[in-house]
Amino acid sequence: MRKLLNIILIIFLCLILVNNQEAQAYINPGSGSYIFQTIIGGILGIIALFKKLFMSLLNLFGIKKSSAEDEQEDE
Amino acid sequence: MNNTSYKDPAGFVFCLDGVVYRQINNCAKKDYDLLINSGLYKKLAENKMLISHEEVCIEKEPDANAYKYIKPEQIKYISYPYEWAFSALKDAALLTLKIQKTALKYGMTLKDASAYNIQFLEGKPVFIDTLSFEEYEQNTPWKAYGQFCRHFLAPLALMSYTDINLNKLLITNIDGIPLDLAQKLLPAMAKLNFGVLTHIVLHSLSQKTFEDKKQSCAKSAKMSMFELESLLNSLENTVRGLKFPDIYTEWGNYYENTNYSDESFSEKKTIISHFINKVEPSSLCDLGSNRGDFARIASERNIKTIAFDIDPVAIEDNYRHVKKHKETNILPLLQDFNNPSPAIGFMNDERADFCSRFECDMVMALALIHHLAISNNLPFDNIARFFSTLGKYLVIEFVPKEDSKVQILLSSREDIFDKYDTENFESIFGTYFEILEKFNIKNSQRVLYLMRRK
Repeated sequence: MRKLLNIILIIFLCLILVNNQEAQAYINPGSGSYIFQTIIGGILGIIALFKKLFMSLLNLFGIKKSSAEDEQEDE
Repeated sequence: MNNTSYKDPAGFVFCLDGVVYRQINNCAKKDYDLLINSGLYKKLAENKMLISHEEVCIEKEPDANAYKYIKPEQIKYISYPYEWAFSALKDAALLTLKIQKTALKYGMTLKDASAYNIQFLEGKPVFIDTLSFEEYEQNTPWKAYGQFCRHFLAPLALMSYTDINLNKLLITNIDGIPLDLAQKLLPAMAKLNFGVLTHIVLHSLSQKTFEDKKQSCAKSAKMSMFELESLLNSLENTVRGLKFPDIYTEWGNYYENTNYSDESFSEKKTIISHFINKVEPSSLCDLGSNRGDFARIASERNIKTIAFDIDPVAIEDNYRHVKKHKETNILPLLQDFNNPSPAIGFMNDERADFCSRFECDMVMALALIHHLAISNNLPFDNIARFFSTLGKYLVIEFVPKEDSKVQILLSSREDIFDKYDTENFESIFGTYFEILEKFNIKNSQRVLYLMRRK
């Protein structure tokens, strides 16, 4: 399930990168990193948010996970 | 001025009477004061994450740019990421991320994430660039993200998935391994790792997408604190997930395949202990340390010890031992003495070469001479001269031609080494050193010498 989610995310990311044609000024590779991290940061943020929500739901239904397992799954 | 500190307008490092200082320029006043007044410096220095310093007055030519001078805790031996064990580079990466996360809590951020900002002190990595901190501007991305990926993530991923020796690419790429190069060298399997795929492969593709194209200004890009923390967590998980590859090397099980019986091995240790007790050096470099068994004779006596070896498995093993036993006086480093670390960077003057960084009181070269003289055709004279530049005292083990290890080296090549014998060895080394003591090792044809530079 997690792998499937990763694959979907990767395809989504590739589409964003390939289709990004908005252009106003020359940007060096360092700036590429700058823009890329805002995109990837947004996606990772959404994943983290969903994960928090999911963990809260698990707690609500009494299914708790240890923090160690939690860390390992954090991606 | 230090070789690279001219790159940062915030200040520079300089050396006065053998002591290293850092000048803080007026333009960095705001950020330096925030580092101190926010409590971030105290927090990081107390936890030995950032090098501690004291503010000092310096008597030198007045500099209108100077705001303050600081004297950081002194580090005797400077090492570079291409010389570190895999786990050492990994620990350095994790420390950088931990510092960035802590800095954010105090309203600051790291403006760079260079692996050269980390040194090893008392067995642990420590961040040395006090001027790398600046005020965090809300909703801005991490300036040093790209540099972190090039300096840490790319070499670690390449070492883990492609070849353990690929940290050497940092020698030819002083600002970290370019991500497009890294992604070309990574096997398909590595790209199934979500973190590697994201922060190296897609990151590299993004650079190709954005360069040479008009684009809305990068500086207007926004990123919330939560997104930034998610990015840092992802980088941390990726680094933690990279493992030392399961490999076999020539030296990895050296001690199981030596010519030494237990008795000879123990005798060798006794002789080396005797030499060290006699000289009482304050620093020692073991040039072919393997897992560090003999180097530890010195480090356990509180002698600052560097344990060099050519083998990444031995160095990794040694570094893990240092961590496990919380050793503070020994640092394992990768080094090939047939081709030691060169001086690199602008005018070959940014990162120093091996010879100018590792002068010590005592040099130890155990079972090394045949690798230099026979494997690499080096005359005794060149080897003796090299050793004499490194230290005042030399502990050296001569391995004669009859020894089975030398026979193995000779089995695949013509024996052109007529002069490789004890007599010539003593005569040529005798021109650079005075031979103080000499012991034959029982049940072996090898000889241990203690020499003093003339």
